Amino acid sequence: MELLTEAIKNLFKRPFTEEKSKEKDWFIRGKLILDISKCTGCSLCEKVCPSKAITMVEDNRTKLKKSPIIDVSECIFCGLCVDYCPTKALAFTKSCALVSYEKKDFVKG
Amino acid sequence: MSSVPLGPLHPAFKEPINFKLKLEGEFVTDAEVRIGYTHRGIEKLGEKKTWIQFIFISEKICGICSSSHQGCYVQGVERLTGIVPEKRGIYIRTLTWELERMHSHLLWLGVLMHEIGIETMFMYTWRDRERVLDILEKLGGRRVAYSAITYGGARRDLSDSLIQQIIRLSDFILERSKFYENFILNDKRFLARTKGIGTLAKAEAEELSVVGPVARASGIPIDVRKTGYAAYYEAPFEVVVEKEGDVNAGALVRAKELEVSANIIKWIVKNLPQGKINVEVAPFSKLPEGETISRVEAPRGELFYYLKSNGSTNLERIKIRTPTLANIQAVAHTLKGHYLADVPVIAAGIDPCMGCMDRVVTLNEKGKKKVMTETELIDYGIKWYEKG
Repeated sequence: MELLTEAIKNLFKRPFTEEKSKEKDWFIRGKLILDISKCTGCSLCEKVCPSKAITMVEDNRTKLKKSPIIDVSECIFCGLCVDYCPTKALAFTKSCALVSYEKKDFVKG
Repeated sequence: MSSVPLGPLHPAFKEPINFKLKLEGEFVTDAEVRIGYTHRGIEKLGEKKTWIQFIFISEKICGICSSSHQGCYVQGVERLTGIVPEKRGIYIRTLTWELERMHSHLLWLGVLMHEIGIETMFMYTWRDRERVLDILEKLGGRRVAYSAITYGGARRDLSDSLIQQIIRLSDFILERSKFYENFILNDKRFLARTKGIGTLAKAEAEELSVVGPVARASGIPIDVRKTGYAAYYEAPFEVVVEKEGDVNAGALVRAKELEVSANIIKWIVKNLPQGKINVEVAPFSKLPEGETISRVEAPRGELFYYLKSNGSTNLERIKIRTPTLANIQAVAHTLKGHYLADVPVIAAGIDPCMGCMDRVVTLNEKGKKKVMTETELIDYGIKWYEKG
């Protein structure tokens, strides 16, 4: 009987599931983003990462000797690299879509 | 007399565990539990990561009580290194623990209803749990592994709008817990499946050293929160104790604990001190030599960490004892004398978490050592299982 009254009450309520992540103050630890212009190539992010998702490689993106690339498929979204980055070059985005058929889509600079 | 293996993979259990049941007709006469199917080697992994990296590995041990594991580990390292935590950080940490207790108890109520077959109630409890998870997501940034705790306190500060939302949530949970209590005490179908099922008397519970809500349902008033760690040494609350010791009493204890948690949260938000929220730690600093223990009350009971350091950046030994390991023997004991159909309800009654529990398995074969190929190992495994 308790359940029946509860069920009738719920008939007149609005839907419970709605997309809430678009709210302004909603903080999400999503995919990492790297602002390469701020990076100094100190490699602290590589050393501090628990899951070895960040590696320092030599490329021609900047004049630096080495700069980081992030493998999102290895990332555990702990945010240690964001905390310890001295120039705030790394940041979280709100994007949580992590679906792809190819592994190379997850690796980005 | 027949013997039935229940598990490791069985629709009644959410995670792999094996019960060897001896049946007399439809009654269980003897039960034996075998664990160790989800061992992941987390303790060993902890020895290879630095003490700062392991904060985020520790919360992966359990998906439900993630911040309890994280908090217990951090509390232990704080004792080892002598970091004095900030008061505001400690209060936010306690708030996270209490929010987690709410969502864990709501999840468990839902699972119990699902095992019994009351799917409507399962939907209601999980809907309410979703509101708690929304707040936890705003606090930490993720629904389950919220990483809200760090050395010296918490990682993210509370905003004024979030505080208002937390107060609204605790009012909502206070109202809903009344509904759950009423349902647990009065619904005929629920009473028929839980009253007098899986009864664990006080003396038996003391002998089997059960912890957490299982012990409190049997009339033992133990709660690690009463030892006064974090903000619990100031927050006023009472330990919920029931006498019957059956599944119904367990459900009632947890429904009442929802109320207790909501009241603690309200108190914390009201008395939140101002100031810093954490202590900055150099990324590759060394730990001092020594050993320590740490205990917290996870939603399922007492969680225990032992930490040993030899003066390097990594810990030398991490030992974890989770509440399910303490409680699982009580299931094997209480199954005796019940119908086979009641086994899932009794097993769900202790709120088991196999992924938490499996740390290491030692098979004592008296010192024999042999190198095997994969097929040989499978054959050996099948023979070993058939023999025992």
